[in-house]
Amino acid sequence: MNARISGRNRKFFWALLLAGILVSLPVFDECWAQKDAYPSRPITLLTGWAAGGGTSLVLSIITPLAERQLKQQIVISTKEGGSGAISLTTLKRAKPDGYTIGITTSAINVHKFLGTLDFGYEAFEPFIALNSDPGGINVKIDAPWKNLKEFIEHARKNPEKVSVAGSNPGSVTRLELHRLEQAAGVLFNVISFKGAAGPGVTSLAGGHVDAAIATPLESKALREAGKVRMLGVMSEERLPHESQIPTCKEQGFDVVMATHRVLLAPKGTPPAILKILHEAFKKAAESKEYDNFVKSQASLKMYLTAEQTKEFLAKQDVLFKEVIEKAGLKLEKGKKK
Amino acid sequence: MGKKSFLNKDFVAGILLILFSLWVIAEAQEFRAAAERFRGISPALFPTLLSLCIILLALLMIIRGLRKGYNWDFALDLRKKYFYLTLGLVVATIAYGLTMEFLGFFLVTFLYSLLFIIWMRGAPPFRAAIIAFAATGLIYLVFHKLMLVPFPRGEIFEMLGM
Amino acid sequence: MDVLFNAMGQVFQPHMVLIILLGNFIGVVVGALPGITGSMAIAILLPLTFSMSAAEGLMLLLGIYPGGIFGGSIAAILLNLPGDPPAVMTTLDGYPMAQKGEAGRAIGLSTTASLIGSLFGVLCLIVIAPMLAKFALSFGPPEFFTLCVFGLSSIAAVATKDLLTGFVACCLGLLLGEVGMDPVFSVQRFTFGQVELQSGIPFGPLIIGLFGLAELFRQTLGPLEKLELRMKQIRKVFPSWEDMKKCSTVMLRGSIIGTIIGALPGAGATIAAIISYNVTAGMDKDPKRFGTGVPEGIAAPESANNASVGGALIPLLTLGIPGSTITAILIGAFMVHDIYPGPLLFVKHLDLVYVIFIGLIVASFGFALFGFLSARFGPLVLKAPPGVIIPMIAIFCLVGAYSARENVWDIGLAVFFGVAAYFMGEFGISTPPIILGYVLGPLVEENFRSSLKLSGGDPSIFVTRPISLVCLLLTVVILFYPVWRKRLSKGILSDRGAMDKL
Repeated sequence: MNARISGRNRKFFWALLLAGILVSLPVFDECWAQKDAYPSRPITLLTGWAAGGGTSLVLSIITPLAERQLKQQIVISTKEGGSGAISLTTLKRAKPDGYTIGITTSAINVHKFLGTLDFGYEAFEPFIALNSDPGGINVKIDAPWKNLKEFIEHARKNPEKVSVAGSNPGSVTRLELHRLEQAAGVLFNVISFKGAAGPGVTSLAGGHVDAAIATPLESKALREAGKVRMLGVMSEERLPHESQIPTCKEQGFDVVMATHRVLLAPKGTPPAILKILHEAFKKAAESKEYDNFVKSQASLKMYLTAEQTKEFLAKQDVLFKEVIEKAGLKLEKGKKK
Repeated sequence: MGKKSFLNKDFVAGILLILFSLWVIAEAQEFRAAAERFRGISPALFPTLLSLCIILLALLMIIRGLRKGYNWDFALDLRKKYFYLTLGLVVATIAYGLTMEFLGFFLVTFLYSLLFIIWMRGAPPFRAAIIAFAATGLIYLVFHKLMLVPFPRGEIFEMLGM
Repeated sequence: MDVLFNAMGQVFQPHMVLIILLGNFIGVVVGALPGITGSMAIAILLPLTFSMSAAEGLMLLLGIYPGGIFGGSIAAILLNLPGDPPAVMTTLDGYPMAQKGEAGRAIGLSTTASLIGSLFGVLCLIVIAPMLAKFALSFGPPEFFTLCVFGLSSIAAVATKDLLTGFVACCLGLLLGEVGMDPVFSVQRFTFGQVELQSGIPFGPLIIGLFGLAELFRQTLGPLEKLELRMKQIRKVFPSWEDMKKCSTVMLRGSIIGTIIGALPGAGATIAAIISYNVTAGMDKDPKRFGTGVPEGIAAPESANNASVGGALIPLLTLGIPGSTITAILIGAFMVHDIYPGPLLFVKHLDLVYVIFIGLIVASFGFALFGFLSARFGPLVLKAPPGVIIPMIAIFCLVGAYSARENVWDIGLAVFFGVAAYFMGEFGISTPPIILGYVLGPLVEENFRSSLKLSGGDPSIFVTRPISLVCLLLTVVILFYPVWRKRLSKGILSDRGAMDKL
């Protein structure tokens, strides 16, 4: 079965060469595209959040719209792990040529204080902020507390007994919980649930916990099913499409916290390219489809220019840092080998 | 039963498992320190418990091993040439991972398949090239075009200015 | 009634059926290939459905879903490499049966069981969804804990060599599941500073390493002539009457288990397969047969994992709660069209709901079609010379390991586990219990700790809540069943309690 004759060997050599060339062609053809006009080949968008969660939904709406603007394909690359840690690390190392960008949630403000990552938003070029999902406190539909005040009163009388479902430390949901604790001066019995899509709210509907922190989106289905209701939403003003939910602020608790979604590019990406990206996504966000989506998601639209985004992130840094420190969650670095 | 001997799979495995478990317990102490500020069960509890279970089971294995005597036959035989084939497989696989970003997906996949088939004498070289080509193409279609898995394009091409 | 006929009219149009079949095909192919799963396919194709109508989009995705779950069993049977996590249990009896030369029969059985499970799940969805949803909600952390403990008692059925090494393997698997961020406090455990390990060891590369690469090493380290697989009975693809008689109760039981577990938020096809296998082997008079290639060993997990499809859709459609990761992605498919699963769905979009029902039934037969085709033609793949098969398997394993998280690092991980699994196998520590521990471990720990937090440290919470108590009792009961009795009676030290393998 082995090749033996030299004639065969020659055939083998040419076949190999030919095959190798044919195989490399797809690579070549992408290379030979116009080198001048950006974007001349598909752009990779890194995300650290799995499909099914809020972030992936935002992406699935906005990406096709932005593709239309850029006239180029955007390939979503999901690098799950560590609440965005892996995707952010990958993005940091990527070439700043505009062909790799990424999306982040508030995780970018959180990781550097928790010690999971040793960099924050300054390591990137944020070029647009897209939307924001405020947190909210939910209780069962038949719970005895009519509003947030009554609930907090109850919690005050029963320190560390009222069970509230939140995510694990490091996620924004958990920090929202701690912020509420700090603003109201109470301590809950915090029950951690993993993952997106609100397992905490599900647990609440089953009556296993007294309350749950979840964004309006995450609890929407169960609220419509009449199983849970929201005592307060953590936004500045009432949500346009859910105006029956009072804000925490108007009830006397200064809790305004949300998970916001920001698009990033690696540091060093040329400003001209950043501008193109910004414009594309801006137009995408102004479209009717995105508008419908945001409204139906009970989400808040957000639009910030690159500069405004950076300022916004700086302010968020301060906010999250405070909550993390007060909650005693700050991890020391140097635990890793 | 053969004569009593320490060359027994269970015995050796038991020892290795005990060493491993002790290492796990040592590592676990770090988590305990890291989680001191939280109320609730320490993250070190489960790993420690499990390690203790393994130690217990490992002790049983050691006893069994000592009872049974000699039992040291492995399929692995350094003299057989297949051993080097497998070693080569492992090395090639690691090389595949390491060079993928540099050479690009297509080249490494094609070369890996081709060389492997030729080494195992699965097909004559020309046919092997065709099979390797077809496999690479199939993977490209399913994984890249259908599943949109981004494959590294190969820095070598960028370096060569292409 | 009107709505029903309307829905049938919608679904039975040629282009709809084609879409469903396309989904099935994609699902089966993706399911069979290691490293990529049905849920990945659904996630990728989700944006495509944006431009289709809601019904069309859902038909495509709902075609992929059951196809993907079934597809994993093909590779599991032919190569001892589960293409998808739910097929892990199918390797236990599927591969031995294939090694006996009856790969066609094995895949045929898997197809039939999956078909029946799928239909049963859809039936439950149609008929008793609200009831089952309510039941599912009553599962809180204590119930999950005891359920998973029950799942762990499968160890007796799953440990293919002897019980002692089986326990060790299971403990090792449990430890593997601990790697990553601790579920309750987010403390990093065993991550050695590698950011890739922060979410734990990824399932895809792990399976590829433990099952695929390890098996490859075993093959290449043995004389290559042994690789000739005898091919008997290629023609017989549909299960014989005998097989059906033996397996009918098993399939029914598996379907029930699968539907219930699928409906539980947080438990999906894999756990359904594990528990079904456990119950079936546990209740059998001669549990030693399992692991040698018995039809029941294929029917049990396969009927359960496909039944979990219908089950997972129950809380999704009735309450808007995803019953598993795949259904979480499916929510997006609805939302993109401005439709919200939940009780209002039945009011506002009843027509769509019926389309989903009918579509699922068609999808079940659809993937079964591909299943029988692969039973007939799949084994032929193995007729190629081993020098070609092995490289091909290797390359698909590698690409699969990479694709799971688009990370080259994972390839190294797979190799590491492959080598480790090979050596462990040489020492008598077999792989299936490791996976058992790995899948159930994190759930056991997380729910245990959450339960105690809820009860303020009081362990009686596990026995005072009815469902939790029932699961605990089941665990105790199964300890008395033959599967445990026979193995323990030979003494824990003995390795004569080993399952006889060919």
